[in-house]
Amino acid sequence: MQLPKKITPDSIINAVVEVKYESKVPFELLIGLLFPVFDDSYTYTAKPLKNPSALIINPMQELAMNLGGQSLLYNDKISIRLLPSAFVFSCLGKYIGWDLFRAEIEKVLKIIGNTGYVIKWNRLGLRYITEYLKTDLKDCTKFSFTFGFPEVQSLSTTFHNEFEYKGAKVIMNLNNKIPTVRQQEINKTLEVVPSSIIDVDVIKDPLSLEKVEEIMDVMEEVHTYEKEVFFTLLTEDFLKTLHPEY
Amino acid sequence: MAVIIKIPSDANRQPSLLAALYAYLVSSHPNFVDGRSISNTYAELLPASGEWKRTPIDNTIDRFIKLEQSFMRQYEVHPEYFGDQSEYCVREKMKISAELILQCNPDIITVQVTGEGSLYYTVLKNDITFYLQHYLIEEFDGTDDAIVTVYKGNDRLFEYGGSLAETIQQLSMILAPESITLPEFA
Repeated sequence: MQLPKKITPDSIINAVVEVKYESKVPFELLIGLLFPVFDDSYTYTAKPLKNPSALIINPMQELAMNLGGQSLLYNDKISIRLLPSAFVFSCLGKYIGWDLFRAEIEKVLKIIGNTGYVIKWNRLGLRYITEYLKTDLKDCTKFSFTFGFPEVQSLSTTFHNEFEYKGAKVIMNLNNKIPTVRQQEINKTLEVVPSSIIDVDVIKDPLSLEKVEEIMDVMEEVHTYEKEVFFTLLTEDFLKTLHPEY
Repeated sequence: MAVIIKIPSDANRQPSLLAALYAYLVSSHPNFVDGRSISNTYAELLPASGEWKRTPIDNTIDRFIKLEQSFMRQYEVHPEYFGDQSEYCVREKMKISAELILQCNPDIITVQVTGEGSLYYTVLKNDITFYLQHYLIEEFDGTDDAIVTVYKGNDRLFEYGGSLAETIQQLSMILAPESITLPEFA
């Protein structure tokens, strides 16, 4: 199957890559060791913990507790969550396209890899969530959303599927016409808008890779699988409306 | 269809027998599920669903970063608004109120620094609009204050002033019937 390089609009509301790693130093130490190796184009911040009661009672405690918050790095294109066993990359704002997103991830992984503190890359997950408003997925995908009662017209449907695809694990969620409350424009009244979601998560694990180049190859492969699953799901007529560029 | 193999309750007293049986079942039946380890008392075959951990998504991060960036841009222009407080201290205090408000997943949120050394949040969620002013006081061991005003459409629903913790608590109680959730306090 020939896969489009670009579609317009892409309707991607979330693009996330998770790379799990094994470090030879404890996470608390790793954060401190990684901090100086990133240049000024990256900002470090700690997002406060979700249990705010402890944060507010005493400001002394606030500052101390914040050190234990969610560690984040970001530049003008992507954000990186630094977790004890994983780095999670996502686009800041709109999706920037795979070539740019991949390049940004590679840049960060090379910086981290060059420190020598990460000794293994052992899992890769890539997840794209696409949202179509006021769209019936029955009309634009090859999934019929029917079951044993053909006379039943479902108002909304959620379908969860897990399967293996070319050695990778795929978790696919299809949410069709889920009512959401939206304010389409500022100062306009709220309206209930049906939202349809195609959520494709491709996971490759267990891995035991030592080089950044190797995990980048896996990332490219997994991204291709995600595209294959996504575009195979769409009907040809619907794909044409997305102005595919090959 | 599931085949259930009932193992005698005293099987644990015969570990070699149990181990041999287990090894045979695993090798000869690819779909064999050991019910003991998964708390499935009927030893039925389990679906794969839920076994694979999804790639994590956190929708609050993007908004948190944008709010922090907006604040920092304004702070760099007017650091004098916050007296002798260090940038680190002001930034950490801002992150606390920002994170608290973001918990209600607002449709729109903005922050402005004011000449009084406060942060002025404007938050829209459904048909509710609230304005929360977080005063960053200079005493290090004191508690920050806040004022909030809540509107539903054009009607003023609620006003409150107190410590930041109390204000968020009160706001949380007012917004709960509107199905808007803020963090609960211990």
